[in-house]
Amino acid sequence: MNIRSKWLLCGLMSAVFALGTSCSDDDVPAPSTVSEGKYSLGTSTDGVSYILSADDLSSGSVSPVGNGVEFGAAEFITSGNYIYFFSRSDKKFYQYELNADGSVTEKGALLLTQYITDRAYSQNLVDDNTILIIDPLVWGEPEVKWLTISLPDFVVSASGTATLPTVEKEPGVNWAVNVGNGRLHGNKFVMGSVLYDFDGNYADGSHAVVFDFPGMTNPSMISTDKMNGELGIFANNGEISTESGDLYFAARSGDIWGKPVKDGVHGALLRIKNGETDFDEDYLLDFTDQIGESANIRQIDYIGNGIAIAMLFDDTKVNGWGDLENDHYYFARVDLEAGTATKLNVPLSDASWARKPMVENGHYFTYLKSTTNNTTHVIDVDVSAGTYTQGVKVEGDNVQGYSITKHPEVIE
Amino acid sequence: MREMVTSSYKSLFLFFLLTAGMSVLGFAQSGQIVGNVKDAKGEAVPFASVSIDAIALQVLTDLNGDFLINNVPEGEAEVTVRSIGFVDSKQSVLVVADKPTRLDVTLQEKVETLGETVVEVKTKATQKKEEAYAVEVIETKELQNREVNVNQLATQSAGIRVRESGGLGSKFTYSLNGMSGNAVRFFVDGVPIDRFGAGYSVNNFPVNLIDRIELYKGVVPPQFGSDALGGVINIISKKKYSNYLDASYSYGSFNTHRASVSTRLVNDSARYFVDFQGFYNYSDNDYKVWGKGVEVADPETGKAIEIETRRFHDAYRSLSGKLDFGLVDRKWADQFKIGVLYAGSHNELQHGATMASVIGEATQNSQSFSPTMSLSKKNAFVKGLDLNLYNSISWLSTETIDTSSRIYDWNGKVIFEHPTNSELGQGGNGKSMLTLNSLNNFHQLNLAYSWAEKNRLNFNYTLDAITRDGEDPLVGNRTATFREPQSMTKQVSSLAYERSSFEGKLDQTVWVKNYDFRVSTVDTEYITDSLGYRPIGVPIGNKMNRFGYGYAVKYKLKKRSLLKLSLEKCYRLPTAEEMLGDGLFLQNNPELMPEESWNLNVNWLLSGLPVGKSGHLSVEPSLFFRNTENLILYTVQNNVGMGHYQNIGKVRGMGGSLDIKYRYKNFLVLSGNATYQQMRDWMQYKGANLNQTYKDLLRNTPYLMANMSATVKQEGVFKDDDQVSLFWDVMYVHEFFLNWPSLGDPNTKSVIPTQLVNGAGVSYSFKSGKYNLSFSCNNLFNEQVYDNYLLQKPGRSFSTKLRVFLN
Repeated sequence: MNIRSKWLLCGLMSAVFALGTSCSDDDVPAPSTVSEGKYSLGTSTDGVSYILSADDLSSGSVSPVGNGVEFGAAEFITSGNYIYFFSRSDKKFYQYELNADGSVTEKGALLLTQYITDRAYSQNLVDDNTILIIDPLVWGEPEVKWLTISLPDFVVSASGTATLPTVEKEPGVNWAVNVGNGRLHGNKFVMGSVLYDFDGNYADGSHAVVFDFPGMTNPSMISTDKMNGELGIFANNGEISTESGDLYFAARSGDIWGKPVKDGVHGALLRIKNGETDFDEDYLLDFTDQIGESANIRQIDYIGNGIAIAMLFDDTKVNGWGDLENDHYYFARVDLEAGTATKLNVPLSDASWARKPMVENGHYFTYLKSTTNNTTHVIDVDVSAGTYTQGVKVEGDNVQGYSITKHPEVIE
Repeated sequence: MREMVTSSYKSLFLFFLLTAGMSVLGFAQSGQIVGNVKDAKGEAVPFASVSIDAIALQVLTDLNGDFLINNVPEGEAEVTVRSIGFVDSKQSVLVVADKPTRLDVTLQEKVETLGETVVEVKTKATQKKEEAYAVEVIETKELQNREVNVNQLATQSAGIRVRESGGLGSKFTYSLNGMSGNAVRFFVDGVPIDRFGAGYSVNNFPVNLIDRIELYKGVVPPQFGSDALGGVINIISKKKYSNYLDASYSYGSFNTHRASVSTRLVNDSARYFVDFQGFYNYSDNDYKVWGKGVEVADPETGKAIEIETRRFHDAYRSLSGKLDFGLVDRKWADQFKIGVLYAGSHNELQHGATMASVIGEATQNSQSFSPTMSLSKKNAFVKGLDLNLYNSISWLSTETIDTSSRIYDWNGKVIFEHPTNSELGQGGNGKSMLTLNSLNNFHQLNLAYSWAEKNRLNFNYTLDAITRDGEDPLVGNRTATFREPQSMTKQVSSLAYERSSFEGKLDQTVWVKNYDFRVSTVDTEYITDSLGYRPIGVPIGNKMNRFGYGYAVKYKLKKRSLLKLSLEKCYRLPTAEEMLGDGLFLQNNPELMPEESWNLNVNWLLSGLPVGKSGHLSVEPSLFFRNTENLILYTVQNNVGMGHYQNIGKVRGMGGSLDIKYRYKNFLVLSGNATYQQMRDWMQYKGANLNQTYKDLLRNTPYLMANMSATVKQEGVFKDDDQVSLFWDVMYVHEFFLNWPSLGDPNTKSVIPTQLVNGAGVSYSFKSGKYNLSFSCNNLFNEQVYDNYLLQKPGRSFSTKLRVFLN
């Protein structure tokens, strides 16, 4: 067979294959639940983070081989046509533009060493135009430093220090107050917290600090005895707001994660109603009660219309800190107003690092990392139907998925 | 083969003959002949043959040129001294019973006349290079007057790359044919020096204290008794001269001062000697840095602005002294030596794992004190059995002071302050004054039995035991694991058989080695108790026993052509620092596995090839192959200012280098080398998944490098007894990726950029080398140079050196 014949045969086979695939009803892919576009996936392979470009979240695979931009963080925040992340090794906060062709381009960097330490995990997208970063407390010092970054012009717009209010533990001795993530609530910034001492004790109840925003002035402590929870003390999403203006906090309690369990309540949701600056004493969503087994909460994400997705786990089955990154996590559909939670039919996985999932058209896109199979897929959770479909696979060993975001569409 | 068999019979016959002869001699009255062999310049001639041919007695001189012949019959004896490159010497001495007779011999160098060209036959470096191993030898004779350090010299050798994190006193790693980090071990005169602390680092040695530097790549002679899987750097200190003083002082850019003194006093009649070697190094290291990582924030917007500035907290000081007292020519020992060694250093820390973490006050200090003892005896117990013993006890204290509340920017300004903060534990770990105390016992026994000149059996045993604990009055969280006691014991035993055949054309060595390791160390676990949520140290253990083996052979194809092959299966256990971290920028990884490797070297050495009437060319092409499992590699972690060591599974690599040297009379030396190596991740699967980096080049590992050097020397420029020399060095390293090359878009990846660095200098000697002056410039064109990611090395620097040598 000469070369010309080979080309002819290849061409014929291609044509037959193309016809076959286009005509076969059996092979028609399931309708995509997400609009077409370009996506950036924040992932980590073998300890190095890459922003990977993907055309389709519903199928196929994406690999960092020859693809993706190295970035020095374990999550990114999306706002408008940009993503933002804090590189601890560089001590810089970066702005990358999401291009319509699926690529990303570095647009700027802020050096934050004079404002905060590199351990500042409280990075809050307050609104579309503002990121607020609060430095963690060091050894119970009363003052914390903070700064705000104006978006998308990407400059430090304000900075300062705030003295955190506290509660007396015993005469002459105050509880130390920890810094957490928070959320804008009207013209207040409500920051989750936990009160503790250096002897391993915690103040009863759940606590948060309320600031006037944007000045970050007049901090005041609010608390509730509805449950013994730790609020906002980690980088996973722990606060959501509804269209009606109510603010919900994930409250964590457990032997491994959060404050010591009290009254059998592990993970829960607390509420601050619109217009209020104190916890709603009539509201407690106890996940253990709802799920029917010990359930602590790792993350809460808002879908819309009063519905949220909670990432839960049974902390009584976690064998120490070293076991946290394993197939312990599952998802539950939460009706916030009704105060109910329903376990979704999604397998247990290590989704613990999927801090910044994507929500689009009532669908929840996050990562399903199976430690057992050593695979990581994007999954599409149809929240109203309570089902999920497994989508694009991220190739590699021990892949952590952090963030998913969509690029702006091409305007023709 | 027939010749080998014949040779074996001859050896056996000679062995019986010698034994019988010795038995007969044992009944007669006998004495000893002791002495020293040196060349016309006063330098010791090691391994020279000293024989009394009439009665078939023969010994070899040691490294100092000393020898001892026992059981010599009373009366006149004719002693013949032979050594490669020298004219044989015959002298008669009168031997008196029960009394040593002294005989010192000065050998004249042999010359060959090729037309008008006079060629010196074989330098010591050539002799060493002709060993069967893949070894580079840097003779320092021509470099004594230059202000140059060991790292600079080593990194100019084929297949060798030294990666420094900054200026004088900074951390460095050696890479020998792709094997790096702690797989490479450092020795001085055959004794490992890691127990003596940072103050006694090889790079602190001024070059004029060094006779030569031997760099063994991959396959290491078993006599080193080490688990040096990647290679050995062995500094041979200067001790060739009977009585001498060598002192130097240099001053250079960045307020760099270096001083050294080396002396030996010998009393021939009382048969003792005193050695002293000491050095002092100091530098502000305030060189300019700029570019990525050297940034300050715009006060209005916070935007990162790159600046050019000087390092402001990087001063380094080291001081070391080594005093030895030795007895020679005793009945019970040819040489017995006791000594003490002190080494100390003070190091200001300027930044973390990258230059983005600026440090303005934290410091690190180390001090060590070590008594040592060594004994050597030829013909111990039985004829032909040489005994060498070395023992040392070392106390090493390393202190890290991290108590500042202030955070600095690259302008040296305080930009941030927390009363309870610390620089190294930014934001959460509290202050620390961690002191690590180590007690090290090192003992080495070497027995070598030779017979029939051509056979030698060598047994070596090394015991290296270290216990370490720490104290921290400030009880920092991150030092929890370091305060607990840890211990590590290594025992390495080897048995080697060496044989020379075909009239010295074929030399072979085969050996077996046993590695025994016991490690008791500490991992971190977090608990909540009455002291709060805090880390505690949890004891963990590790032990291993393995057998390794090796083979080395050289065959002399022609007079100037030598083929060498060496092969070894070897092991290395992680060090305490690799497993535990350093409490600073190195995180712990107690799950590290031992490295194991198959190493193969093939070298073809062509030396002294005539070029024209007066030129000579040496060429050495070489190939290597490494097949390593659980390679331990340092990686900077992306999201923190620290790094840690990781096992990379399987690594397979091969490469080659070409080393060329041209010498024209005694006037011009041109040399150059180039190395290309490909160390690849050879782990095909990770669990059930295909490894994405399978066959990928190792990250953060240079793979293409080259060096060139030109030296011009002229004697009698201004006076008859003076000499001027000029040199020009060029070093090149091709850029390489920080992370796996195949992952990510290559256009956006972090790279360690290409280096092209020039250096030049001039030196002037007068009064036949007694007084010497030199001036040199490093990094002539002020290039921005990186060995490691975002760790800029010094730009252009100048130095001048004064050296006095009295012999």
